[in-house]
Amino acid sequence: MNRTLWKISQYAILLAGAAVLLLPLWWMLVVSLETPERAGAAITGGTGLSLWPPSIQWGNYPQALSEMGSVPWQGFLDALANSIVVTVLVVIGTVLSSSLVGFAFARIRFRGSRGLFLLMLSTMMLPGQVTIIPLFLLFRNLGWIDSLLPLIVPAFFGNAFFIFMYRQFIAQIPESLLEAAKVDGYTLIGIWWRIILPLCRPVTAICAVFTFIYVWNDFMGPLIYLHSDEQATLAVALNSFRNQYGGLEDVHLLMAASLVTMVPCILLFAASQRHFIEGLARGAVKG
Amino acid sequence: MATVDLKAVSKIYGSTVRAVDSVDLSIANGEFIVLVGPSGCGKSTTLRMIAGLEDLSGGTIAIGDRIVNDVPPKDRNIAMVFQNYALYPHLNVRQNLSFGLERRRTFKSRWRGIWDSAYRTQRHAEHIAITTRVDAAARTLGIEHLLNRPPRELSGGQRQRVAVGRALVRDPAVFLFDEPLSNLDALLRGEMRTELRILHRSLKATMVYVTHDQEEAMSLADRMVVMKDGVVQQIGSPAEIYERPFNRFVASFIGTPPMNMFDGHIGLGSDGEFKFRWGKSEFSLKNRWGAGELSSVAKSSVTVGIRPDRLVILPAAEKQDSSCMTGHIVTIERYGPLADIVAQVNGARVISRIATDTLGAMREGDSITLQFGMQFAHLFREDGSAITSPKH
Repeated sequence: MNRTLWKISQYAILLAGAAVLLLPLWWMLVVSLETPERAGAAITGGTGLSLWPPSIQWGNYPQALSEMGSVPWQGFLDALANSIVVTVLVVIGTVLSSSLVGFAFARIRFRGSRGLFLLMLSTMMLPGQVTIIPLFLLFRNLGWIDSLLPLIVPAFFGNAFFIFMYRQFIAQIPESLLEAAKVDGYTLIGIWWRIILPLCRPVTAICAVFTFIYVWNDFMGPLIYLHSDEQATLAVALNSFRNQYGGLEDVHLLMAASLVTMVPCILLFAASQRHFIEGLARGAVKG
Repeated sequence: MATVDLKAVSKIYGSTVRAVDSVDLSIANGEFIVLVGPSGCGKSTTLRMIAGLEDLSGGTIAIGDRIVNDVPPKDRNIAMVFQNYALYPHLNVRQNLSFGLERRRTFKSRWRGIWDSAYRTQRHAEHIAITTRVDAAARTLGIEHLLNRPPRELSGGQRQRVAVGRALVRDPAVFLFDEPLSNLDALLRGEMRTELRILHRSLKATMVYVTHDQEEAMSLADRMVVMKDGVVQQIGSPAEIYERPFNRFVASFIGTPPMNMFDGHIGLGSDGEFKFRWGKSEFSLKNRWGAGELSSVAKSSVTVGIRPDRLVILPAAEKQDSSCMTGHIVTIERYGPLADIVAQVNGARVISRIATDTLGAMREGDSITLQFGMQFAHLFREDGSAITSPKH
């Protein structure tokens, strides 16, 4: 009896928490499906929202996407393509460079390794905003402004936090596995590619998903480096969309476009969550 | 197939720790050599230097005619079996076995076969050759039914077989084993030991094997190398090392239960012969050592070592002469047909191994007579070195 009660209260607390977290999402969904009048009224506080719109306006979605940017559909498709290119390349770059550097820090003894590692960690303490101006000047000198390069290229030079994560994980892989591969004829790069990367799948999953979500939703970076409509990513395109309508009157379209933008992140998270808990290192050695 | 030659091989960590100190060792082609010693004696380091996983601080290592000091492991034509098996957890057994072969493929490119049909044919033939070799190795080790399983689904013994198979499939010049059986339970260890011995006989390959277990070393080795503190103590066949240990360390390290050691000294008896004096007793040594050898250690401290199976314990008062001492039984440990009697004699603890059926009515706490089999004794100088017996 007591245990049942305990279970019920547990679920009640969890459900309440979930409801609080889902509230904004529900609000977005409902507003995106409302008529312009009802959505506008909800914003200005005239009438409240019902739990579910009385007449669902599916048409809001194609209208929102087609009206993004100056040419119908073109703006949305451009932004979508840009977002995909940037995100995919950044994810690949971050995973490859961070795991390679993490491997070096974990497994190769070289002069100054410790000092370099500390230096790298210390870059995490630096607020991103501090580097905005020097980075902008650097990329301007390289002639990369208003191209996707400033968003993509830095990823191929590693990310301090993920390097740290890879290093910690790789340090736990038994040394004898690497020695066996050396005897089997593999070079360090071969070992990294054939042994370390496959074994690091749990870290790679975390690294890839977090990077994906961060880059997909990144607003600051594209806003600073990209100027023209054709180069905009979705996050920036959404912003221009709002300005175009001057704020509140077309909030239903803004919400529809925002929801579409969110979909890949939600799908990715759902698909990859099992990797977070997977431990592949089992069975490598006695145990 | 190859010889392995170690000349003055040393490994120094930092500036002072001599993990391996000037080891000389010549391994013949097809020989099964076992490096044995307590942990930290440098045996694994020596093996890892042969493998190329550790750099040498001094000396040279040659495999075949080639000095390999600066040759990376992959080019030494060796295969190594690790203590913790070191199977690649993300690959199944077949992939684990073929991993080294895949690296050595001539026709490596996956893509070139798409437009180059001759390449495709050769690549396919190579693939078949690898598959055949893996299958043959798996058959030898009886792991054919496991080929598609990942390592985590295998038992300890099966993982061990895969680890051996990974070496086998490569057909290397030298097999290196780093305590490969120490993670297995006693029963399996015995089984694998026999199989390794059979494998060695059928392959006729050079094998270097490291273990801390002297019984394992004795049962496997053609020749064994006993090491301590980085220094080779003795090299010889198991029989030689058992029968004629060079020093006190080798004598007490090899053999179960360990050799009984009696610290006494050599003195001249009333009959003009050299005697071993231990406590109040004297033992004649003339059956084993000549006066020449004994006079060199006269009046100095020596240690007599007698293997437990050469130390006879009799019920008290059954027989008494100058080669006997009295004491009492502390405990009796029975191992089926054999039994170890642990007795307290003259303040020292001694162990005698006898056939269980000769125990008779002896019980713990009984008084006993200890009879020294001096003709089987070993004699060690104060510095631990053995005085060899010409009458052996």
